[in-house]
Amino acid sequence: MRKERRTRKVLFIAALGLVAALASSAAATARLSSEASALAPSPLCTGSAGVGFASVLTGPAAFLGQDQLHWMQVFLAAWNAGKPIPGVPAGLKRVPVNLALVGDSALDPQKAATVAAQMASNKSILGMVGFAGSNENLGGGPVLDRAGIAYITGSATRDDLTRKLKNLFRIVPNNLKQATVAIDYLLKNGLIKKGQQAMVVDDGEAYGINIADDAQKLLEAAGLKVDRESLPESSSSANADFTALANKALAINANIVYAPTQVASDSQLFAQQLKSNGYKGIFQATDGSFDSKSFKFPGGYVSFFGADVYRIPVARPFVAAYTKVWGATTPFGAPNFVAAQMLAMAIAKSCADGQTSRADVRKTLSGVSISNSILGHAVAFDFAGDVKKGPAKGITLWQIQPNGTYKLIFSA
Amino acid sequence: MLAILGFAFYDWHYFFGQLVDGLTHGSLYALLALGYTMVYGILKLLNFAHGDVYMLGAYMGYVVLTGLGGSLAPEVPTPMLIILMFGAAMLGCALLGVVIERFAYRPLRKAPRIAPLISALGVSFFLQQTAVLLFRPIPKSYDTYSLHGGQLFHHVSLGNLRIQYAQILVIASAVGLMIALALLVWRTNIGKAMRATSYDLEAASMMGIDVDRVIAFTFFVGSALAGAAGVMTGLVYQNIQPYMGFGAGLKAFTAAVVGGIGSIPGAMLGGMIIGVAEQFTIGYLSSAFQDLITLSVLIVFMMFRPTGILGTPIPQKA
Repeated sequence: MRKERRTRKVLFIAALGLVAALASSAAATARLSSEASALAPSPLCTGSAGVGFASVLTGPAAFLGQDQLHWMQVFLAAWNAGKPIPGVPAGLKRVPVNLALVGDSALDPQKAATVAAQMASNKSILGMVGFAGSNENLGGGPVLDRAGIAYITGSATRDDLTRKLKNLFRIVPNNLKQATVAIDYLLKNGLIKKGQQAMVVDDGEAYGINIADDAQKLLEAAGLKVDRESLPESSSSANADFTALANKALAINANIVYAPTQVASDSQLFAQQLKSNGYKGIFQATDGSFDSKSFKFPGGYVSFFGADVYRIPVARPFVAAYTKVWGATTPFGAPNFVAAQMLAMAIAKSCADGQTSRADVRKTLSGVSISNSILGHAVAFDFAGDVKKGPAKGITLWQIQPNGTYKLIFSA
Repeated sequence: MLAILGFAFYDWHYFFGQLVDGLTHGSLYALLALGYTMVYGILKLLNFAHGDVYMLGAYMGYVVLTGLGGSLAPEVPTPMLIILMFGAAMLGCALLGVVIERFAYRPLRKAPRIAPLISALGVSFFLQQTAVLLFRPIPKSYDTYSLHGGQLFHHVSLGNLRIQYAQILVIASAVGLMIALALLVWRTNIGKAMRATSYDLEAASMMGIDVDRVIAFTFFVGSALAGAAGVMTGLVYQNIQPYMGFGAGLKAFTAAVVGGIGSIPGAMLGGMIIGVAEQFTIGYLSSAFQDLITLSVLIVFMMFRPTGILGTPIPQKA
């Protein structure tokens, strides 16, 4: 009995310790943000206009947010130095833009709300790039909406975001569009058929669950039977292992495994484990796995909301500037260059009369368009804030070749 | 359980496949659980940094792998490469464990129990963030499907049943290490000293046992096993990342509690039970229930048998 009590006491103390550690971590983040805020300049068009950036900068998905921040910095360096940027008219009078506040939303909606409040209270901020994830936008978006700040995400794809958040704009098309393109292609080409079995596996995250839901509905509507599964991805403090699902896919005679995740190496592992177990059907991954360095399983399919920035000629000088300082990039970064570009162009246009405000920037943003972005396509927003023109050839579907390269097989 | 047996009868191959995968996973949990249970047995300390030692072991193996040409073009024969990876990770982690004990736990040995616990949490964050700085938080892959033409993942057939070489390697290595540990604990003088220290630290000290040395040795052995588990994870499951220690540590701790914390055979058994339970949950129920079932097992044991399967209550002085 005493030992039992002692064990319980130890567990209680351990829980207390964990809470204390998390609280101190949150406090440190808030302190960093407020220090940056104190240094923020004023938003006069004659001086330098302030913008904010918020993404996941710590924790398991920090690589994604850091990449996005670095791409924004690449843009600001080029913009403020007056260098040519694809889509920026030569005659546009550029207003210098400074990064007044960087917030770490840590893929956490509550932290996102705190960051959003800091953005709102910093009067120098005219607009923001972020948040990275759908959940963060749902947490911090309402605060930004109330403050009248326009914010542009370069990676949140949950279908209903722009309907729920009035000041949110996004550079990337939503999940439903992506899932529809991929599944339509597979159906039209006879790669999957009515009556066959599918396995849909989400990664337990807002992004993966939403696109998996979309795919499940589309597959069921096409007459396929769907086995729905959910496994956390590698970046969520655990290591993914798909052997049990690989066994299951074989046992249920699955013809397609549709597995969205934000960790490309997880897709690689899942596909390898499926093959190793004798699975011969289709493996379909999504934009989160669009990374030819980590997901290179021959025969696998990947859908994406844009193109690989390494392949786009107009992006080369910026990719070079990025890699020179930070090394290799991920596919999630470059849309933030374009998000920052849209914001900077809106500020510049709204400053035409010598003064601007958050409301001016937000209003002007709806009319800004880039004819040839570094993503390889035109960008403009529709009435809801979603990307209007989208990728030049629409959402893309790729198949991985025996040498690991991605071959474009379909553009919507 | 009956449902699983029913399904097993219905599809024996499927059952066997899930069982082998579960035992593979369970072997890793068991190796990791041994570290928790050994330290708890002697110091009554939940060493939260143990999962992060395991993570660094995986990275040490990765450094050796990439340093010797990587999976695509290794500069040494595959068996030698694997031995070197294990050797480096086990030795590196063993030394790391000793250093952690010396600087983070020993000075707090006479402090209230919460002090070493908080120190353990601090060490855990320190190791995690060190790995983030050194290796970046992007997952790295051992890419052992490319090693020697992917032979590690070829199958051995037992009739209609198939098992991968990698799984044999993991299960056999884990069992071998566990047997070696059992022999060390039960058949050597240092093992006897460990058991004595575990039973009563003060009395052991009065009997002339150098308890500091024994405790350091315990950390040395437990951390070496964690290093081996880290390399095995990379070999079989490919991806490693700085935060992998937390999830694995939680499962291993669960395994140690289920088996009976403080009991070495209990940790082995607990690891296997958790590994197989996870695999069967995904295979026969749904992947969505994986962690739910695992942690429910922990709660059930805490409620109805807090000493675990093989743990025994410590007799108290009158």
